[in-house]
Amino acid sequence: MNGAALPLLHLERIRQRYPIVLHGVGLNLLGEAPLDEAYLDRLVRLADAVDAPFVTDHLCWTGAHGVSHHDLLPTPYVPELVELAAERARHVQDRLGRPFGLENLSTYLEFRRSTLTEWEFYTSVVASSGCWFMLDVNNIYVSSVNHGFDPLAYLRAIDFDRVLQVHLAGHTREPNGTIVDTHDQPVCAEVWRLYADAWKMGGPFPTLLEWDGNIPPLPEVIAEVELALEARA
Amino acid sequence: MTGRAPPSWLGEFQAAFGDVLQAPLERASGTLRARTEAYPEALRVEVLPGSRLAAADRIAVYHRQYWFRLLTALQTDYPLVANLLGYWEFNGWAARFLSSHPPRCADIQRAGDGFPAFLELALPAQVATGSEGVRVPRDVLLEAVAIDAAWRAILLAPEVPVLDPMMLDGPTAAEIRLEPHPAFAIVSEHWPLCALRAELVHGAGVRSAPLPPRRPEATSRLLGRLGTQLLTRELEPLHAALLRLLAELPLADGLAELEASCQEAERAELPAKVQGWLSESVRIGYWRGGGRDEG
Repeated sequence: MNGAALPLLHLERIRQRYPIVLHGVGLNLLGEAPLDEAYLDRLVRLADAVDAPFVTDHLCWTGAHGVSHHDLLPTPYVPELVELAAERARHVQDRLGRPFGLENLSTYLEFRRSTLTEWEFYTSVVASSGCWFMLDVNNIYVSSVNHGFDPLAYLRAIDFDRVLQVHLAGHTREPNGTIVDTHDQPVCAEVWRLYADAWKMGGPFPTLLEWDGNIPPLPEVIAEVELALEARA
Repeated sequence: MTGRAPPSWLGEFQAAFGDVLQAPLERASGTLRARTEAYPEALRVEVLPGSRLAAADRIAVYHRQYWFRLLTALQTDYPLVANLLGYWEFNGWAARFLSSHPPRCADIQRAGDGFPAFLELALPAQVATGSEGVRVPRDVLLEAVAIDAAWRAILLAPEVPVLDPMMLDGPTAAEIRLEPHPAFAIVSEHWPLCALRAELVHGAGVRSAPLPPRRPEATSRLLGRLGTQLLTRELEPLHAALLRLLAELPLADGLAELEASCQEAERAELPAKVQGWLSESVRIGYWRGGGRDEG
C-alpha cells in the first residue's frame, strides 16, 4: 500500500497461483478523526490490483490526534460507537466494492463506560453495517481468559452465515497471567477446542493460521494446518 | 465520506490514552519499565481493574506494546546501527527519536523516517555501546546509518520507469541530466559495513567479530534491486565518481569533470571504461526515465 515496488512484485507472483485476500491493521475505524480517505484510496487500488475476493481489518482504533500508535486498541462498548463504526464500515465496503470483514480484537483491559459485552458490540456493528465477520478464535480465547467470560457465549452470538474467514494463532502468557496475542507460538489446545466448537456451530468457513514471529519450518506449519483439519472431524 | 461525528468523550479518551502510550518507558532499572504511577487518574478511572491486574497495569500492556513494536521496527530497518550499538543503547537512541518524532503514518515502515538525520545531529564523537567500556566512533555509526538508510530506501522504492537508452544517442544527449532510479544507491564505507549488514540480515543475526581498523580510503558500493533480486557490488573509484557526477551535472560536463579529476595514467583507458560503465548503468536501470531533462 505504500507504493513500494518489491512487495507488489511478490504479490503479483503469488497472485498468478493463488487468490489473495487483504487483511489490514491501519484503517482506524474507531479513531476520533474521520476515516483517512487517502488511505482508503490506496486500499481500494490494491484490492483492485490483486482482485481480492474480500478485505478485512479490525474493529478498533489505531491512532488519534495525528499520531499512529500501530496497535489495535479497544474502545468502550457503547451503542453510540456501534453506529459510528457501522457507518464507517459500510462506507469502506461501498468504496471497496467487495465484502469487508471486521475482526474482533484480543484485549487486555475493560472500560467502566461499556454498557455492552464485546460480542454484543461486535455483532451489532456487523449487523448494522451490512459488513461481515472476520472471526479470530484465538482472540476470543485470549480476551475470555483476560476478562473472565465464557468464550462459547461469544461464539453463540455469531451469525456464521456472515463469517468471511476464521483466524487461528498462538499467544503468550505473561508472568502476571495476562495472555497476549503474539502470533509467535503454536495454537494451544484450548483454542483448538474452541475452533472445533465454532466449526460445529457454523462450519464450513475458510481458516487462516497466523504466524508473525518465531516462524517454524514449513513442515511444522503444515502439520499445524493438518490439526485444523482434524479439529473439524 | 461518512458524516457521523464521534462523541466528544472519544477524542478526549484517545488523547489521554495516546499520551500514556507515547511516554517513554523508564530505563533506570536496567529494564524497560512502564511508569504506571505516572498514569493520569482520569484515564485510570475509565479502566476496570481485572482479576489479575490493577487498571494501570492493564493499560501498561498497551504501553509496553507501543514501544516494543516501534523499537523492533527501527531495529529491523537499521540493523547495522542496532548491532554496532547493542540493542539496549540502540533502543535508547530510538526512543529519543520516537519521542520527538512520533509516527504519523499508518505504515509502520515509515516510523523510522528521519532517524539518520536525527542521529547525525544527536550523536557525540564517541558513543557508548552495550558492552562495558566499549565506545564506537560517531563516524562508524554515520556510515552505518547511511547504509541502512540506503537499503531501506531501495526496499521502499516505488516502481518508476527507467531511462530510455535512445535518450543518450540523441542530438541533445550532452545536455541531459540523469537522475538515479530510487531502487539504487551508492554508499561509501571505511569499514566492511555492507558485509556485516549482509551477515546480520541473511546470516547469523549477530556480529561475529569486532570491526577492523578504519581503512584510509573509502570503498564505494552500488546497492540496488533488479526485479526481485538485491544487488551489492564494489565500484572502482572512477566508476563511483562517474555515477555521482552524472547525477549532479549535465552529461558532457560530468564526463569532462571526471576526465579532469583522473590521473594521467588512468586517462588513456578512461573513454573505454566510461563507455562500459555508462552502458551497464543503463542496462541495469540505474537511471530513472522521465527525468529532469529527458523530455
